[in-house]
Amino acid sequence: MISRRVTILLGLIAGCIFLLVPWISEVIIGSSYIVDLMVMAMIYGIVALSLNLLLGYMEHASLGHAVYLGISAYTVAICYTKYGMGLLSSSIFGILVGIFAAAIFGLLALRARGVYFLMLTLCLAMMCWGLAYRWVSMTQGDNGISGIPRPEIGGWSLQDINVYYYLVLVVFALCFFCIYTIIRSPYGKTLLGIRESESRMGALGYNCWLHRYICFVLAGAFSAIAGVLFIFFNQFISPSSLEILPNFEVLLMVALGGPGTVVGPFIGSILIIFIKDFISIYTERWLLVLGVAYIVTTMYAPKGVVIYVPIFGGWLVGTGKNILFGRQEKLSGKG
Amino acid sequence: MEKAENKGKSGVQRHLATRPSIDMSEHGYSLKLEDVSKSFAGLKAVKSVSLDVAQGERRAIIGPNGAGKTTLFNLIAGNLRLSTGKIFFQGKDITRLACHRRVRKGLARTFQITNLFAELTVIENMVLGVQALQRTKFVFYRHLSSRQDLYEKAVELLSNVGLEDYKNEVVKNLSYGIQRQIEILLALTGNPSLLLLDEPTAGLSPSETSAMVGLVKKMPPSITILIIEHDMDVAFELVDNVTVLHFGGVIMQGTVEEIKKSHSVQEIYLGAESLKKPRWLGKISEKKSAYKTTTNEVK
Repeated sequence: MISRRVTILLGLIAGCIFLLVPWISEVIIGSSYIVDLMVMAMIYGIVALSLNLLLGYMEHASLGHAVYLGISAYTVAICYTKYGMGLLSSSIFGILVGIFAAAIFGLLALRARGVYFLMLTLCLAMMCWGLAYRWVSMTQGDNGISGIPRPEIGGWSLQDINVYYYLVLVVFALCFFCIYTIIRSPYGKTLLGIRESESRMGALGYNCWLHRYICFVLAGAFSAIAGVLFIFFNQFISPSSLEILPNFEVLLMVALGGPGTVVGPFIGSILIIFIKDFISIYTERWLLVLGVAYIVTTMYAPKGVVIYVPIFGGWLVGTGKNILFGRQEKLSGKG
Repeated sequence: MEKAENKGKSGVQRHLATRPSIDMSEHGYSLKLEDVSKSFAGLKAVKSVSLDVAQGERRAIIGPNGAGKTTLFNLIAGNLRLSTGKIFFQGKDITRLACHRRVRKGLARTFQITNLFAELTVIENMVLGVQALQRTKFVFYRHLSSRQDLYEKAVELLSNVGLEDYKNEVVKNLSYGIQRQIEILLALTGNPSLLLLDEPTAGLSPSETSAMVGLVKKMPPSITILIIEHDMDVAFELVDNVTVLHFGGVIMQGTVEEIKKSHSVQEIYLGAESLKKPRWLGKISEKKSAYKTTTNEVK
């Protein structure tokens, strides 16, 4: 385990690199290509980090987590293009609808556990896809919805990808901090308890269902926030964002990066987004590679890649064991 | 060890003294079961069991394997729904209450198969227990370590029984004997007034068993304890009254002395014959002599 001071230093270095991405991209390849990829990696990073609450801390594998991203993105697009709402109000409405969907789906999906939970969430996600695909009068079906402009914030036009990059970076940092706080809070510990033994949590007086439900809705809320970033980045949404593939990719990001670790899912999302893009230069068989990646991960790195990188050790990774008391030495010193 | 146990006595009692006092004038019992039955798809695991457990009483539930003891515990704790019957706890009907709501009323249980948070450390286990009945458990915007009081209470509970040295150990790395003690300590974190102990000494070595007996004996007299136990020496040392279950029904209920003398109990409890002959009731007199040798072992 490396000391807290070193991890803070590493965090600062990583922060500087993130701030310099637009400049690095310009210098290396002379275009904003890397910035585009990083924006996608951070948007899906938020989704992966929130799925990590379910998968890593509660061991509830959801195969329908990117669907809240799609729902909120669709809501923003529909509100703006069809009902002429403002960009800010449609964004807020989009997030609310995403949370509402998570609240409804949670009621249905949390009745099951394990692989049945996975199947139920997949089933609900496919229903949303079906809705987006067939409800042509509302969603324009296969054609998707286009024509959503990027707003202007305080005189900064987000049409400039570099400006948009910094907006996404700020939102991502906020979400990261929130999820990190949740994990370390008293409530976050109860999720670990439910992972370890739900029957014991019940016997201690916890209403396990309520804790699982709150976690499910919270995770859905972060995914919905990512949806708003997604729609303004792509300025277009089609049913393909609700297919099984993005849902599966998000699950793979968490599995690859390291479920139950703090930074793992984000590392996983960077890896998936960049590898996907790199491979698609050479072949269209990206799905094949995705499948192989999943098999290799589950066989040889079931705890994710980050635990093999010693530099990510300590509290930054925070696997189940050392996550409860990040400041344990201090505590036992007092007590 | 002796010293630690003595020290613990006052500590556990001090901890439990903070429990809100119960008005005993209205009802003299802690737990009351009325005609409780449970069937699993045709198999009647528990057959119309009625039980009165007084406040502060120590009661053992004994019976051969498959008698329905653990099922009965699951019914009382709320892990299973009853098929028929009613359960009252401190004068209130809790038949339809969910598991965690019964815990809030002061009912705690341990498990036959050790059921701890294996990947977490001892202190983390205890903190999860301590915060279970507080509103803190829903706080998601601050660090758990900001609640120093939870941590201190957990440490206090551990030091009462001399286990504070293990607080930073991951539970799955500890010996089985210590895990069983933590199993009971964890049940005590919620200041229960009724404690259900499901075979606390199962699988323990003789020295670990005596440590466990000491732990249970140390509990303050106000706390009602219902205990499933296979080791008769342990059961008779800890309890005043015994209920004997067989094939899901109550065979006998009485003081330790009465149970020790009862031949029918000896028969069903010790005799493998009884399993071959489910309708053993009428046959006791014939078989009496055959069990005399084994009877002595019990005493």
